Amino acid sequence: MNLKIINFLEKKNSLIETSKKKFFFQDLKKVIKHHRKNNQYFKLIDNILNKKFNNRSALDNITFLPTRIFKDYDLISVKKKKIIKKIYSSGTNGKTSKIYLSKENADLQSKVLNYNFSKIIGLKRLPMLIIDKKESMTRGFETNARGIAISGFLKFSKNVTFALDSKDNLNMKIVKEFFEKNKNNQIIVFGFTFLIWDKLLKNLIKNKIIFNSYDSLLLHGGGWKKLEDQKIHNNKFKKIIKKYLNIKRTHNYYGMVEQAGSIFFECERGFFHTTIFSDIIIRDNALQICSFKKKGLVQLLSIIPQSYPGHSILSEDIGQIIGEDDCKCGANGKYFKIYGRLQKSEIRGCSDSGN
Amino acid sequence: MIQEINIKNRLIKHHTSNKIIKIESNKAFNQLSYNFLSDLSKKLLITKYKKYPDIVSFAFWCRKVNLINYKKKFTDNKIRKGVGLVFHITPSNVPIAYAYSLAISLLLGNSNIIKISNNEFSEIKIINSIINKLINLKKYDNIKKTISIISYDNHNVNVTKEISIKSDARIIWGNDTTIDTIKQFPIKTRGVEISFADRYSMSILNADIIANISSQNLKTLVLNFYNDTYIMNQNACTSPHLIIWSGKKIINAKKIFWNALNVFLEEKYKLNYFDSVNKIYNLNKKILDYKKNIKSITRYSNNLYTVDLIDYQYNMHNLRGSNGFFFQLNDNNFKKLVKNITHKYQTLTYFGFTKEYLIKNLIEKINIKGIDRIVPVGKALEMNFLWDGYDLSKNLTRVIDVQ
Repeated sequence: MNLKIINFLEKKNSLIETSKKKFFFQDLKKVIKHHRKNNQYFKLIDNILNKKFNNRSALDNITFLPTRIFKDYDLISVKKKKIIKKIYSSGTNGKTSKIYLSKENADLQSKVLNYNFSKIIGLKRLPMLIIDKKESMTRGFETNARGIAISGFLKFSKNVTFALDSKDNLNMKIVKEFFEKNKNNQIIVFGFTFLIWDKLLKNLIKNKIIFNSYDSLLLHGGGWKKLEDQKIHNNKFKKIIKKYLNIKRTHNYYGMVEQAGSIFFECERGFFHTTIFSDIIIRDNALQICSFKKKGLVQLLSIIPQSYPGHSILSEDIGQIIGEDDCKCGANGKYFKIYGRLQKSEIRGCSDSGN
Repeated sequence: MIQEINIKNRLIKHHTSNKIIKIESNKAFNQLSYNFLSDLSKKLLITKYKKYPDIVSFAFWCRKVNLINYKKKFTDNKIRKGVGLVFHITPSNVPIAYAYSLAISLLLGNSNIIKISNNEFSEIKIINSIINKLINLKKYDNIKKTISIISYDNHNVNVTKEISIKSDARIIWGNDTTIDTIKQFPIKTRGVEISFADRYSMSILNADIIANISSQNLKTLVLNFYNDTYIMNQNACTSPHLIIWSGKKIINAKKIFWNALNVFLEEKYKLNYFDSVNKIYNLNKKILDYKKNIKSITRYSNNLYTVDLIDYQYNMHNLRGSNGFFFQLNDNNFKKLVKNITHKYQTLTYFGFTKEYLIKNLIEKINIKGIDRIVPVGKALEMNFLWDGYDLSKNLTRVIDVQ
């Protein structure tokens, strides 16, 4: 598929940031057209729903699929023989989502991740410590969200060290060696938020071990639920990382397996940012679009999903858009916060934040 | 000899204080139970609880005057007493059902153990707190000794087993799997089993009447329809999911009816995030599952979706919505409906037809088991001693033959 934004990206054209609004929508329309043409289910749903969602703002005209639908159906928008990978989500209550990737789609994910990653880290490849086990990196046809994230991220490192053994226990010896060897190098620590907390940080706190690192950074994602149960929030998490690893730059990232690649990195001000490949909409309890600063359901748009209709998805997360193109961090895009998974008790409409 | 059952068990959460329940068989429609329910009704009919429509309708239902009407309707010339201990396993999605189940059985002279849902519904908390206040009055001491409201996790099957074996009757509200699982545990040899299984309900509307309806009558119809469906978010098995239109002016009637309902809902009904997400997910799922039988879909607002079907289909009873999500069909004189009834069909609500017409064109033409209640729109949730094909006034009592 010939997408303008991707073409710009390949030519390393710096114009793309400023032309985003113009091209994102054109590209998204192309993606939608592709799914309508190649996925009879999507066409049907789009036909039925779009008529009724009409006559509103352009964004509102884009049919979304609820995330749970990927748990019930195999949704594919290319010829079956083109599928090279099947990704499972980490299902919390039994059923898991299934995402089917073609080679083109997988390549596009890497390209976009690469671009987003370099915005945060620069183009230099750095030594990486992954708080996970080698075995999580599945190489076969089927993989899960954890596997796809690790294989996605480790492409940007120079040499990779896995911190956990095959039984998910921290191998302190390896970790010590890693920090020793790289004490004068910039490094990246990467992993799932809960594993970083549960396997690495808790261990360091308990054994009073402090590592030193130089101008390094830590990337983590995958949800806060388990940590919040233990009363660990983002700020506290960052403080502990600073204290025990001497890492000042900690970036949380947010994304869904349905839109792997176009993930959202947290900026230095603590907000997630949309990129030239993605957009976010917040909807209220009646599924109407909320204005900025209101909390509501998160709908995510991405131009990457092409082998499956995952370009516009209504998540079950609660979020809030703070503003657009005016974040104090200097980066463009809509910047937003995520408040975790929708709770059954959440009955408010577009509620004002901060009260 | 005093018969009793001890239900002290660490797995059980008690919502009433008594843990040793006296098993009694009292006179059906006895004075004490009347007084108790009528006091309960009075305490529930205060302004504070007006915002819970299901509490209000329950309270109205157990007013003394209404219960006396039931007595007139359901007593025969026989001497009837309760069967003994009734074990109620009540539903987790319709909070108010437990109150009706208890009230009817109490009125018929029985001792009662009521298992309620673990979900913390405000309705249940309110009614329980008032029941507790009342049974601690001296005059209701005997009621205190004969009822117990409990909850426990469904996987604690031993609790179910122990109570069941001592029960003279068991009422199970639930889906087919739940009921079959519970039925593995026997009740007393002569015990009565009553299963309120998952059923499917529908409405039949006369399009020609609705097409020419006065605005006042339309208002009433909409309110009645709302009470049947939205109050329980369509979770009650008596709430319609399928709307059948009969007449010549169907297109017009649909427009008038659904638009009026939608306007009414704007003020009255508000979905939470959770239900909104479930509803849009369910819509997507139904589109994918039943695409061949869907003619069109209208999303009036988030409060109201309608799906026009092409025809009746196999396993029609799986076409369910929630929170204002209806399937509809055109079927003049119910010619097709009578051929498509199954045992899954429970309540049929109607508007714009006479009883005689329905008996002639519907009831007399159906020769298989299915449809147990036909009531006007607005009465779908109205609990009655006749329920789901059972006459509870007979099933939960025994006759003493004196000659």
